[in-house]
Amino acid sequence: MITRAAAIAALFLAALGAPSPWAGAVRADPFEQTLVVEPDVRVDVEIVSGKIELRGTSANELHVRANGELRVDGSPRRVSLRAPSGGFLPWAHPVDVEVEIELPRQSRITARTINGAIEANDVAGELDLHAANGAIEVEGAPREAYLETMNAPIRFSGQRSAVVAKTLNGAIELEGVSGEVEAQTVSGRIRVEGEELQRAELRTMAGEIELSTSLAKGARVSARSFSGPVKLVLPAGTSARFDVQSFSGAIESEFSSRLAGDEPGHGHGFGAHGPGGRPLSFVVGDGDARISIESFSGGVKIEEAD
Amino acid sequence: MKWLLWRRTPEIPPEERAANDALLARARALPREAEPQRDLWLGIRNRIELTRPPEPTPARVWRTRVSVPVWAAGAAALLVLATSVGTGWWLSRPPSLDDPVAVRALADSLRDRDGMTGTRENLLALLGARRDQLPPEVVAAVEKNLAEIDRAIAEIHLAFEEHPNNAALQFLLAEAYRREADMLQQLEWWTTQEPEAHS
Repeated sequence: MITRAAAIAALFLAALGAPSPWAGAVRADPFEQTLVVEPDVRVDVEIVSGKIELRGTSANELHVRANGELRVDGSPRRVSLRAPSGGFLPWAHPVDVEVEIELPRQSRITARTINGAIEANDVAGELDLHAANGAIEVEGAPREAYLETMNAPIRFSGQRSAVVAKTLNGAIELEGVSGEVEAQTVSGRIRVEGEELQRAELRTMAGEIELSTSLAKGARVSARSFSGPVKLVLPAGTSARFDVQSFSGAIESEFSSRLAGDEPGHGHGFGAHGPGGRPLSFVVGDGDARISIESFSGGVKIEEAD
Repeated sequence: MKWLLWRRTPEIPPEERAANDALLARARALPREAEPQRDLWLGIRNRIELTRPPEPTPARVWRTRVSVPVWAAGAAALLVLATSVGTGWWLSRPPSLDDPVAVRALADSLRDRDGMTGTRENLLALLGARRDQLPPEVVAAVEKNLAEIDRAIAEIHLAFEEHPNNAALQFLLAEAYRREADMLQQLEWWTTQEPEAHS
């Protein structure tokens, strides 16, 4: 094992072609380099302005291309790539750098840009992506992903992935999520498609929330929207206790409630509960999952999936 | 003086003539031009004005008002009443949420009640101090969303007046405060971890 690690390190050194690559290698425009790395290499990418594109491959090497200056530091276990910022106010004199990185699929990736987008495809390791003023788009099967912007949308398409997505100003769309999911925005809609969710926390101040998922046993789901409607689509066999309240919107449910003593197969049209409507609680099935929904001026709709 | 000379006739007795001559001599000694020692007109004018008739009394004015037609007086009374009612309504009406200043004031009063003013103050101070470290679009987005949070808190404030114990309002208010705290955290994170500059 030690021999293998040493061999990889030697290859990495050779690839950098410098006596001490860890001291930092700066490559001028244009930049292209291939490094041999471990399958779960930790990769940190940081640029101020431009675009970061990440693509997972089956090879144990990291191939990077950039259209500008890039500084590379690291080891086969950890690689750091940074572009110069361009001064104190980089957006006043932007130095846009577009970075394309092919890396092992299981790489653990941290990427950060202040003024630019991040795109990741075919990645399966942990993701920690931050873009203040650029969209984040992910497609792959990361186990866990933390995605954050301040002024741009977030789109994620995974496979049973646990995701935390946060933005101030932008929509959040998550597909293929499972386990734990958290989505927060101030202005923007939230749409989540998942399966076997264990815990979901969805929050927006101005925007609608749409959650379509199955629930794990004992799941906890909480959705809060201030001025947008909330829509939940759950499988027919869902077992959960619902606590729903909309201050000035209507509440509708297609699920039968044993507390309300409905005929099976007949849903509720609760309607608006008057101004400041009282909380509405009802149980479906055994009621082991807990679902709470609050909205100020938006309605709440709970539907059975087809 | 000629007439005095003319009247100096032979029938004037000598002792009288002597008296006349003395008088003439004194008259000749008088100055050719004479000016008053002080302006007496001011005193005279004051005395004239003091003797003027007084201004019309209020009673006379009242007699004039009584002469207004009854319909006009009724209309005036109605106008006064309408103005009073209108002013009362204006003062008691709920604040307009279209006015950002009113919205901010409502939100601040609720923050003050809940002891949450610190977060907003820190947020504004941080934004003011480090706004140059972020792209202008991001600063604009932060400001826009601060206004969005203000609006939500103001709406909750108004709703609380009718439903002070509403649980959903409490949850939503807590959520608004939490968003504010998250914004502060995010802003701090983005402005303290500036990417390495080595240009």
